Amino acid sequence: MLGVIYKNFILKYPLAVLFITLSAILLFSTNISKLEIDASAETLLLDDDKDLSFLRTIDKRFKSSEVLIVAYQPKQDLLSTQSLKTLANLSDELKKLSLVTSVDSLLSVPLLYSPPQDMGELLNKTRTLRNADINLTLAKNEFLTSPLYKDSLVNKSFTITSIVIHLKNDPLYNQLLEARNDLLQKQKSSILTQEEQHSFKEINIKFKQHRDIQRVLNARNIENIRSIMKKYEKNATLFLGGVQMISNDIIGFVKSDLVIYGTILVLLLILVLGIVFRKPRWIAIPILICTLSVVAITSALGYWGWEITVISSNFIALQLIITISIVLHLIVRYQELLKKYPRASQYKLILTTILSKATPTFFAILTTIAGFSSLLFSHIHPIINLGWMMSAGIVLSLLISFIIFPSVLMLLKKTPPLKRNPANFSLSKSASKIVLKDKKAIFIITLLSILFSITGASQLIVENSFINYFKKDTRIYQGMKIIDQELGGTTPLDVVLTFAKESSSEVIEEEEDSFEDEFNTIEDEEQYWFTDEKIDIIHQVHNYLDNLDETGDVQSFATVLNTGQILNENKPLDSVEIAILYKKLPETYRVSILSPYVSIEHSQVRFSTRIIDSKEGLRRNALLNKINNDLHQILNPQVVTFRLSNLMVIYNNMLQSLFTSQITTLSLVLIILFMMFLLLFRSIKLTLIALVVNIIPIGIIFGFMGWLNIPLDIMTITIAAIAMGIGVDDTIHYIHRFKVEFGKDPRYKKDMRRTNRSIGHAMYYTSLTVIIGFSILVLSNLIPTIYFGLLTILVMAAALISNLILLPKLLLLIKPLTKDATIKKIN
Amino acid sequence: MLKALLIILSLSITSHAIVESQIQQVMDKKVHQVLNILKNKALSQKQKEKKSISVMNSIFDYKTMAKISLGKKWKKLSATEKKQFTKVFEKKIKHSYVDKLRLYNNQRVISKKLKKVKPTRITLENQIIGKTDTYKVVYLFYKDKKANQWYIYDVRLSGVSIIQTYRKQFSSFLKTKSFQALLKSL
Repeated sequence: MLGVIYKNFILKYPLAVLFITLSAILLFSTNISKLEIDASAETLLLDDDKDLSFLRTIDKRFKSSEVLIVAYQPKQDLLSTQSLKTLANLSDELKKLSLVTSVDSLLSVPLLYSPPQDMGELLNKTRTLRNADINLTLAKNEFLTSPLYKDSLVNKSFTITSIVIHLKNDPLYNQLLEARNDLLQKQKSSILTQEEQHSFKEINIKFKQHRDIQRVLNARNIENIRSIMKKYEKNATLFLGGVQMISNDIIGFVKSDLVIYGTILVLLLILVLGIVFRKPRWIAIPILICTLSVVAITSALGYWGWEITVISSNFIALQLIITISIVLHLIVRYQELLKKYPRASQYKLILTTILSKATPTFFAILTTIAGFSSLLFSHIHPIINLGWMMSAGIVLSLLISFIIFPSVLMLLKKTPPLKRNPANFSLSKSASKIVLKDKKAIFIITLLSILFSITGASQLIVENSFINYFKKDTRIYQGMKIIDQELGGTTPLDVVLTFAKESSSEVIEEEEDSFEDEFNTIEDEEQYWFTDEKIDIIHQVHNYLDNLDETGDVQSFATVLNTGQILNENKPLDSVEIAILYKKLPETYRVSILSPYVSIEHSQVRFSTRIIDSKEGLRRNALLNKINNDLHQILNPQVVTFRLSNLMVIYNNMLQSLFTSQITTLSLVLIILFMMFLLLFRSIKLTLIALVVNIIPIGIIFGFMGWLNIPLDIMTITIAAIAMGIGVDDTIHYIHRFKVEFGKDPRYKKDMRRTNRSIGHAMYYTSLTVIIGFSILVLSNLIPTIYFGLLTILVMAAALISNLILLPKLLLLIKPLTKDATIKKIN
Repeated sequence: MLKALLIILSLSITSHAIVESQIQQVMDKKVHQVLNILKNKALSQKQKEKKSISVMNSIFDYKTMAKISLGKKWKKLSATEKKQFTKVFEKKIKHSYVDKLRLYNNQRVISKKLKKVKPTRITLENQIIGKTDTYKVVYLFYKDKKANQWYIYDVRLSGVSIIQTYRKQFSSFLKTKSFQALLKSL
């Protein structure tokens, strides 16, 4: 069937086929412009994350907004006229940006005890650094000691201050999200009506459009902030921080890496192909096929509207690897045939190459797809997407390779095979020697690898630290570190306490002149909400959070109470005083100091803290578990319940479910591989050998990550899938070829040598090309890219060694093939 | 402002059981009596506290205040428990009074008119004039029908009822803890 297509079509009209394929891909490539890279939190969030909807509710209830932080380090003293003037101009300019609602700085925050005042005066007239009569020494002291400002607005040495930029909330985003989630929920429990289906579709389109617009606006906003900051760099050192900036900059880094290292990678590929094959055609054809495959898949992603997320950002690299592997296998096979039959026609050579490689390549691709399809069961949107992208990408690579390779080659003249110096490419030969000679060494090394894997993997940590995405000597890292360590931390974590609602007093029969009714009617008034018990609990939780090493700035109602205590001659405010204050507090103060922390309507209080992301040895999941356990101990559930919230929890949820899904999908991949191998090889022994050969490189990767303390994070978590994709490819090609050789001559040792000489070369070249090409990634400024490069190199090398040494060794040892069966199958 | 409000609380506890027609007059007199004690530089802080307390004792109905602050729980107490509670509650109110006397800082007090809300309830509003603001304080009287006398059972400062604040404290406390624990905490 395949032969017929090639004979009657592709090899008969190569120019037309080439023209049609190229034009089709080029035409389709207009969709590339629709391709989006999105590193925002939204793409990583779980669809049915209950913590996420809780976070949205809490954000709304406590009117909290997203913030960006500018660290301002003037060259002169922080309170010098020049520094304050620069700060004033900078804040005023930032305030004018359309996405900024307000800017808090040294100049705008109220000074409460510089000098100490009566509370009435304080409430009537807010004093700030902008007032002319402020005593700067007192103000400095207040900034350094006030629970409201110390270690968050200014650092301990009083050299840096933070400018907090409050960003506009996006109500439409929440509206659309809620509407989408409602319908999503309904879809899960029942069938949507036609109308609902229609509006679901519409909302999804609107939501995506809105996010696309918003992403651009946010990026522009950050750009604007940076260009304003630039104007003031003469007088001060300025750094920008905040979660939104980090995700924005990660996209920037990924994009610039893609351009810089992508280009160098291609150049390196050309170089390696040139050295290995020494013919322009063997450089041009692989590069053409790789380019077309990448263009085709990115166009397809644009067409289907699939976004590239942080998780799937590596998929193009994987596609590149698999495409190179397909093409190099074809080239090596073609050269092998050419060497063997130098007089055969180009047509014959190409046809034989294609037909002999079609089956193993097809099965290798099919197995890889089957493996990736297991990602579809992960229930995590970006992972599912990755599964689809990988599968679609590989299919496209297969099709493009098997169309472009023969048609281009048909148009070229046959050239005589290279007479190689046999010493030049000796790895596959050395592999044969090792397999035959070093019996014990192979098993000892394998055993050591297994030990290394197990011990390393047991130390594997699951962490996602944004700050550690950047090299320590980069400016962005230093800025983030200052904000992180000196100005109150980075990743926001909230603790929300919900006090048990006090049921209204029972109606009891009273004498006519009772006081009960009189007091019952006023008991629900808001000012009575602040009982001593609640205040105690709030202080307890606040102190607990404040005392944790991992938390930076902690703000809550307790901060307000502590400030009040200082104003009250250092005596704590009792509930009567708090109730009176609450009643007398002007609306502006209520909004700025109470609403973010207290919701009387819902009987809730919120503690807002930022985790110090750069803290050595920070284990986020363990920290959250510890806080949960400790709060369980501290709080009586009959009185108050609690829940952790904000990005710290959301990111952790995502990472933990990625990790568990990694384990479940990995086991699922093994089951699927087992079945595929069984189907392909029809031998339990061969299947088990193939599985072992593939598990070991993955084990080594995890062992390596464990021993080198490389965390499993949202960028590195896909590496196992990639390892599997690469390893399986080699194994199938090897075993397929071995069986062919065994069919011709059933002598294991000789078959192994021949297999190594033929297919071994292709595997070796593929690995060499990829290893040299990807080594450039190690120079990136983005740590995950470095890890990705390193791990890819490692997995290529491990898979190659495993397939060239362990696989033949196991074949020789177990002898899974029998002469009759193989011959029958080949016939 | 806070200080001013706390003064009101202190001053408000300095009245005596009165007949209806004399409420305003007696209250004015008593408030000024306490103000004079506080202004008297010859007295030590301790003396000021002691004297002020002695002015207030008779008109404050501590038992009623204690009863209201405990709400429905009061009825479930034995006579001894009621006595115990009233005693500690009285001490608490007095302690808080003494504590707040220290904050007095020459504020002026203006007495406004009486209001009879119902036959057995009268409210008297005073105003405290501080440097920057004026605050409202309302004394709540009830009529002891048997003795035909009026007693203070609550004071509202800027709309905050002192007794209601305690009521809320105690009811939430007693939800998870025992009455004995409450006695101890007071």
